[in-house]
Amino acid sequence: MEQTFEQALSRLEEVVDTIENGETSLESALSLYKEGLLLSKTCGEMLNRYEAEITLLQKDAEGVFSQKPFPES
Amino acid sequence: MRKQLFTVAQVNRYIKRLLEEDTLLSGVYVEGELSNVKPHSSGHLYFTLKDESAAINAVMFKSNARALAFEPRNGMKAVLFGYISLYEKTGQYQLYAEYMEPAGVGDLQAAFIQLRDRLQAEGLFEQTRKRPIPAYVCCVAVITSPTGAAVRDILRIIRNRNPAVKVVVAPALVQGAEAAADISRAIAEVNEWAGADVIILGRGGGSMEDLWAFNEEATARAVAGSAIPIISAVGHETDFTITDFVADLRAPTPTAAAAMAVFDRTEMLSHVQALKDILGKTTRGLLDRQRAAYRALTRSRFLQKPLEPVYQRQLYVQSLQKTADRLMRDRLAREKTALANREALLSKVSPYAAWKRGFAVVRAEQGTVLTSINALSLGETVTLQFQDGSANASVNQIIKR
Repeated sequence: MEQTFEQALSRLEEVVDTIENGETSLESALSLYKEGLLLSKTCGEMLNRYEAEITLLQKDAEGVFSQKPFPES
Repeated sequence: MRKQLFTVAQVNRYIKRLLEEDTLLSGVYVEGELSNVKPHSSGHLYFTLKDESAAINAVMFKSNARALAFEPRNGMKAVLFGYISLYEKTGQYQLYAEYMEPAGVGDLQAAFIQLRDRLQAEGLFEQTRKRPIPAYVCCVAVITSPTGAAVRDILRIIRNRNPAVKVVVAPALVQGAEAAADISRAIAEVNEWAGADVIILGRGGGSMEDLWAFNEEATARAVAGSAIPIISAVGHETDFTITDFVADLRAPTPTAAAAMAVFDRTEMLSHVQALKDILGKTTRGLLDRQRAAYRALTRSRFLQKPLEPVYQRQLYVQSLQKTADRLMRDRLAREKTALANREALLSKVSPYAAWKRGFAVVRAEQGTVLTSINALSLGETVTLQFQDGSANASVNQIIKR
């Protein structure tokens, strides 16, 4: 999640910045707009994703890691 | 012979003065065990300080008692500083305590300062070696006691702010002699597992002894050596441990640590929505401006009447033409007048003007013009030239004037 969300968000901010600066031609502004819409949709989806689990980290005698659900009392 | 007779008050006052004048007893450190601890309604603290073979009454006034960082309890070993004096009313001498600390705290504080200075000299607290906490974490590892309020608070805050973030609890002892080693082990294991983007290391509040594991060198070095950034959240806001100084970020409480570790999902959603809004508004604005520019252009005088410049040039040429014509006419008129004038002048001075007045040009036979009678001879044929022709004549008579 980190890579793609972070990348998507920073690209979205870049796009908004570029369009706001007003130096773009109408054509490139429209294509940036399309890209920006798609990015904001992606970000929204990633944010509204599932609820992650909470686990307890364990390492056994052989040095193998495992996780079991954390008992939320 | 009777010795001098004193009142009880006088005796007590004398003893009080003796005690208060003694240098040692005016400011003395005493160590002992607290018993009969009785907080009075007035706010003053009354208790007994004792050891295996002796005891002394003690009192700590409200102003000093209020400043105590801990709660004095029966059985607690403490170090006190104060003066010894006599309460005249009862004849009871007591220790008037101005300062109290749990026994051994002095040692702990000395050890703390020593380690802190040593590690600081090594540069372990430098701001430059602290790593930034990643802005968008996927997975948080929490090293703390798996029971207790701290872990539950952290889990709750993370869930509230961003349920999409995964949380892994790596349990460790957070108190006692084995805690430092156990915390180091947990940090090493989380680094080995390598699944977390950030570690929260913490525990709830407690006394200096309770938090001591976070002031030990082993813990400090484990925190410094962690490849994964560590947020330390030990005790209450006012507790500062060596772990706090070495960590990449210090949080005043475990809940603050959780807030620092994960971004708020709702806020981020608003931010993305806001960006989307700016995107839409700005693009629409751009489109509107282009349309307006286009409309302005189509309304321009030039586009409405494209031939107008041509007409204007035509008019200009015409006017030039008119001017040229006029100038020419004027010139011609002037020339004509001048010519007529010259003609008039010419005919005035022309010899042939005399013809009109009746003069004729007299020429000899050869053609020479005769201007005097002396050039005449009788009987000579002369030619008389008139304006409209000529006539031959012969000289009949010559008359001198």
